[in-house]
Amino acid sequence: MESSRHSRAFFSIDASFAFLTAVFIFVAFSAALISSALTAQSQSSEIASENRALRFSSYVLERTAVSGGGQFDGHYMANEIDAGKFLSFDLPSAMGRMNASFASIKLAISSGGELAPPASGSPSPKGTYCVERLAVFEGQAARLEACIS
Amino acid sequence: MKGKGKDSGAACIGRAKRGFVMSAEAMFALLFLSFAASSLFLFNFQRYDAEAFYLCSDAAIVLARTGAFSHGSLDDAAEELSALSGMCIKAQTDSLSPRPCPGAQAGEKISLTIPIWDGSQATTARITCSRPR
Repeated sequence: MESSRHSRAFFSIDASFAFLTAVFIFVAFSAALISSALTAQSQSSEIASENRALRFSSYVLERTAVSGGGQFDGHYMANEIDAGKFLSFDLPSAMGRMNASFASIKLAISSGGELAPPASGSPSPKGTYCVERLAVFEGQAARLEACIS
Repeated sequence: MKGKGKDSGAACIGRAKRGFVMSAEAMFALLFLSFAASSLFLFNFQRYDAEAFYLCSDAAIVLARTGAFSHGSLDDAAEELSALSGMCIKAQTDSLSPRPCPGAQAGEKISLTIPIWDGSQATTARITCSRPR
């Protein structure tokens, strides 16, 4: 009786387990592939945003730097920020160069106090990326925060 | 055929009873799983922290430009920069060894060696930066 019932069955228990295992492995590998692709995409977008923000901060440091005099005439002093140039920094023009929808800069001085020209544009829904840089402001250490989106 | 399968199954159980706890396949599967698990920590090294490198090279410029190497206030200047940047920044010259950063856990470290003028001669200084994890 038993053996005849087994012989009529379409699937054996072994075959159904093998089938289930195959389906499970397929789903697991697909999920792993999708998640690794999403991780790679988010990592590359984060790297791109960070590089863009760093490029923007370098541009700000260059454009707001103190001009060298004497033998350094025509040069700018790296990472030395001029207050006048910083406060009058042309953010809309920098945004145009960077193809950005929003940009802001802020300088925090180690002895206290902050310089921040008004931000320009409106933040993108994709998010705003900020980086910090160190600079010299009137002989003191200062932190520049440059944000872009 | 069925009889043979039954026999081999019985033989397997018999062998297990005699001390074979795992089949070769299970052992290989476990081995591969342990390889995969041990490589998971490598993903930490893929963390991209370009900002830390920029901050560290900025710190070297700021230390040099504020005269910290020649005024003998190197530790204070490094501490000030650490507070500003949120990183542990240490500066070391031939004559000055750095003060340890309080509460700094060793994250990724960046080291730069720069030429300096210490007030009497040209020498080198090492700037070490690490961002707490």
